[in-house]
Amino acid sequence: MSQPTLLGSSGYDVPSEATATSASISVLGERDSGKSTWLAAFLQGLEDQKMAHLRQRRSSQDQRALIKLTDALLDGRFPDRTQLNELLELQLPLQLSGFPFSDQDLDLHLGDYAGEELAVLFKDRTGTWTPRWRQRARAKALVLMLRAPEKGPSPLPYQWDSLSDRQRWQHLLRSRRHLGGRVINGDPAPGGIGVDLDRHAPDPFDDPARQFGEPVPLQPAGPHEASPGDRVLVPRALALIELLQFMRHARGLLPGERPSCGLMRVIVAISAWDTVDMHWREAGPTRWLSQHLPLLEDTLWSSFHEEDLFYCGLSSVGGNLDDPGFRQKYQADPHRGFVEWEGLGGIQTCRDLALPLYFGLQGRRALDLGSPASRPLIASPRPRHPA
Amino acid sequence: MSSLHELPPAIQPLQCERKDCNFGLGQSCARQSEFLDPLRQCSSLRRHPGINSALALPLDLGAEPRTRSRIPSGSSDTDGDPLASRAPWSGRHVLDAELEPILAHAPARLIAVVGSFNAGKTALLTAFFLQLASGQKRGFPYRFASSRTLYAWQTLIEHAQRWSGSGELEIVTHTPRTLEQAQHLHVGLRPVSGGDDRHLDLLFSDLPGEWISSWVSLADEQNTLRLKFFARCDAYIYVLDASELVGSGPGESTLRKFDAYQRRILQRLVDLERPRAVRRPLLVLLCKWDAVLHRLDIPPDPASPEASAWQPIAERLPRTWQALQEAQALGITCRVAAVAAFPHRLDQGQPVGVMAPFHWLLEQVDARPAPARLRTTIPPGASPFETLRRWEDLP
Repeated sequence: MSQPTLLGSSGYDVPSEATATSASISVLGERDSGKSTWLAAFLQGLEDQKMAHLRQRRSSQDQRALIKLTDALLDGRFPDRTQLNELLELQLPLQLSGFPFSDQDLDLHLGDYAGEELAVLFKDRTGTWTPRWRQRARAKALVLMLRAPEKGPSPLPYQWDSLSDRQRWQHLLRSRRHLGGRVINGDPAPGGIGVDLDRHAPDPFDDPARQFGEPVPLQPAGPHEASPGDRVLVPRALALIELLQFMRHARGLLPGERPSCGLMRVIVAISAWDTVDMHWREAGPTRWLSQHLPLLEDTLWSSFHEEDLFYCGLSSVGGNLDDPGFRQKYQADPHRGFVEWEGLGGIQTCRDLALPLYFGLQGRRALDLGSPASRPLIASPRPRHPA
Repeated sequence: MSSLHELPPAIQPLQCERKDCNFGLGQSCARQSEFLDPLRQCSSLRRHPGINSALALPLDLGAEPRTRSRIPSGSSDTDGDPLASRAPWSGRHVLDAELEPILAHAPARLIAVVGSFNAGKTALLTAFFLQLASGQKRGFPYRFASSRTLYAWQTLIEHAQRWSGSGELEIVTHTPRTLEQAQHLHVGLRPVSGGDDRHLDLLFSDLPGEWISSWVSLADEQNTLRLKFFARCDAYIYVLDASELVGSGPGESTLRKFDAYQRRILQRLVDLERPRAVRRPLLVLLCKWDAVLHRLDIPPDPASPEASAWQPIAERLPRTWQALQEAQALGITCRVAAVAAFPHRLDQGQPVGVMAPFHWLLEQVDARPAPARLRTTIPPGASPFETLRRWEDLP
């Protein structure tokens, strides 16, 4: 592998002022996961002083990466995909302030790389796990960027009963008899996808929600039990899971060992959240992750304490810049991105794209954005859809 | 300077990759329970050209990460050094030589998956991983936590995705018989119960069926050596191809031969268990049941072989069932279940019956009996509070 082109500082220099603390956050994701777009939108917001709790103390010494990322958005287009041999390292001299944070100077290191690099690393294990990757493992927090697919099934109503294996065999037998006893795999199983022939619809008079209101689950339920005719969900993000394993290994963590709270936080940001079906947005990013990426969710549950995990939906620009109509609106008001997450009161929305970074730096208390400075950025929480 | 009588090359020092082995110092081999002759049989033992030679240092797969040398932050990029840029593990199947470090981490469970060629062993494991990965656990009390063989799993899944649904084509690639050593698939599990904080390493052998056939025919040193991990396994999954049951009617020679051959495999396994004080459990899986569903109807629920529900199968495979009964008489816990790992293409329907047998298997190999309860008798009429108060509080 040829030497990468480095744009920006090395990322781990000594803090410029004696009082500034240094923190690095690694942004990880596969190809087209939205890493560059989010970084660009964040940097633009930082320059325009739109962040509730982060300010630039002064300009960075090396602004090449910042300029490269933000120029595209200023033109009203998505940033170019980071090339395979290109690294964007940012060292930002910032000030963190405002409740619930204590005022402090901060040198924040962020990095962007080509998503293809992850695929190369997953396939070819010799010569690709470089010290630069191991340095990324030492970050205070990891932001895992995942792109939501444009289309997907809507969340199903909560299931009150479950099919036994015997019932599933019966379904399979009926499907084979329907097809004359021959295996014909070109056609969908009878009943179509998602329709179950044996499951009884829940009696509405037994529906507790009607009597007691919507439930507030303490722990997200697992994915819906698939009906016999449902397609098998092929696991995605295996390369990202492997990278997470490598990074934990580099930190000296055994498989399944949960690091002490605060040592290594993980933020899962589902990008292009504005394109997600509204039912899923109302169900929340945790529910979305549980249904679409159960393997990743299980890995995170097994490997980190709940306090160190934050799941959010993220829209960096609030729409599609390839759409001329939206582009026009965007150029008139470029700060349209938002972050959504599940709070106790329901789904919360915030326009501060630095929210994942706040969590990475300060943990759960960063989600208490009740300060006057952040109020204009927060919409009222809306009830969570019980998907 | 040349010499007519050149000295033979110096004997190089004997060195083992394992830190707990001092065989090279003339003492005992750390794997002596597996080898009769470590000098000939142990793959970890080598004569290194030079102790300090970087090339002689083995890739430290699976070693405790805390013992690894730390790369200092801010160090220069050492892309030119192949060892510095090598990933901690390959992501492919875990080979026999790489097994020990994983098994040394308690708790680890090694499951030997046995069956003849094309029985459906690899497809079964792929379906299990797919169910686990897609959250279709159906009561399986563990969640995925890690895997050292993610790339291997992905390769199997990609092949299964490309399967057209035709019975003539293979769903997953056949495990090549040209392997030099046994290979295994790994998955790390975490109990769902919040009070159980363990990480359980689960390893499944993924062997070519030809190795089993060779071992059944001739249990010589070579055929036995490549199955040496049997000595360490915690349970067996014995896979039968259910479609063989209806290829011909009962009593015909093909079915008789199939029945006789399956019995021979079982007898080999029983012979392995005979000298052991604690016998390992045996899960018998009739795979590809979807192919015989219209002839044999819905299979019984997982049960022990003597259950009357399995009687129709016992009548078709009398020798096999007799061997199972002999195994049970020896004290081997057995369970029989039917599975359809890939009854459809992946985009057309779900597997059937995959998770329940694995649930049973984990109950056997990961049995954790509850601690004995402290029973205190409360005399009639006495106050429970007074009776159970601590001795320190007694007047």
